[in-house]
Amino acid sequence: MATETSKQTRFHKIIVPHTENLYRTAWALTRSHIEAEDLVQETLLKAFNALDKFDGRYPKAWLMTIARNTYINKSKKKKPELLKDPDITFEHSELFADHTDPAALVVDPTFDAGVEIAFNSLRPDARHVVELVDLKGLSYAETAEKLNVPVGTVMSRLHRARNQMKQSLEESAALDGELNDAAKETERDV
Amino acid sequence: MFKFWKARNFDCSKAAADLQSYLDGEIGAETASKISSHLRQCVGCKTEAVKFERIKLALQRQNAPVNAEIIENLQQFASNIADPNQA
Repeated sequence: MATETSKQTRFHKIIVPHTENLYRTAWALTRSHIEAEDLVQETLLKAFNALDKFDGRYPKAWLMTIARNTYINKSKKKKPELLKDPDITFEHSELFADHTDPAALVVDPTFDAGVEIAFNSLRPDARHVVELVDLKGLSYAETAEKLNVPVGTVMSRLHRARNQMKQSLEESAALDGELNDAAKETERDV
Repeated sequence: MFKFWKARNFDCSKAAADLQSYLDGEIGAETASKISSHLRQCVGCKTEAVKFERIKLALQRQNAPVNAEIIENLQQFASNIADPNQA
């Protein structure tokens, strides 16, 4: 009984405070409130059940790893259906296969911080285009209409802005590992 | 090695020029298919594609629409796991 109470206290202290971060990760993976909630709930249940084996270090990273693995396993189960879906291109399913799964992209807080800095360093007009396309999910044509500029202008601003962010991240020594890991993983796959 | 060299020199500059439009799904089927084939063979271009996707997903994570009620419900769910008698 005392052990169970101690486990409950530990769960409250080290896991519950990360609920919002866990939800953000789940949402980035699923792009759906309902699926994100399901994923968070499943992750929390697994975390509680495995808490006795957890050494207590880096709880956020531990939670994100459980969430990522849960998401990957769910995606694998769904894969046969997904590949039959004409709305999901083969090209993108190939790009994100296995180690390049987007789930692998959301667990490193250092990388996230670098992306935030790079994004905030963009010129306001460039940042606005990235916001509309990458965060709001608008097409190039919709973005052009909203900004009252030609589609070609949207493309050039967007592509330049992303290249600038990428370059900034590549130049950051702190992020070399993250991006080099991507390169090594990709090389192994070819 | 030869395969790598050949793939890199096949049409990397063309793939690079259209890569972002391809990732955004803003390119014709024929070009998309060519880029897709190229990415399967070319380490350099595929790495570039992965980098762009990493950056985009990190942005989306930071900007996830967080609803206070959802977070509260999830925290309540977490509390109930830890102490089912409170449910």
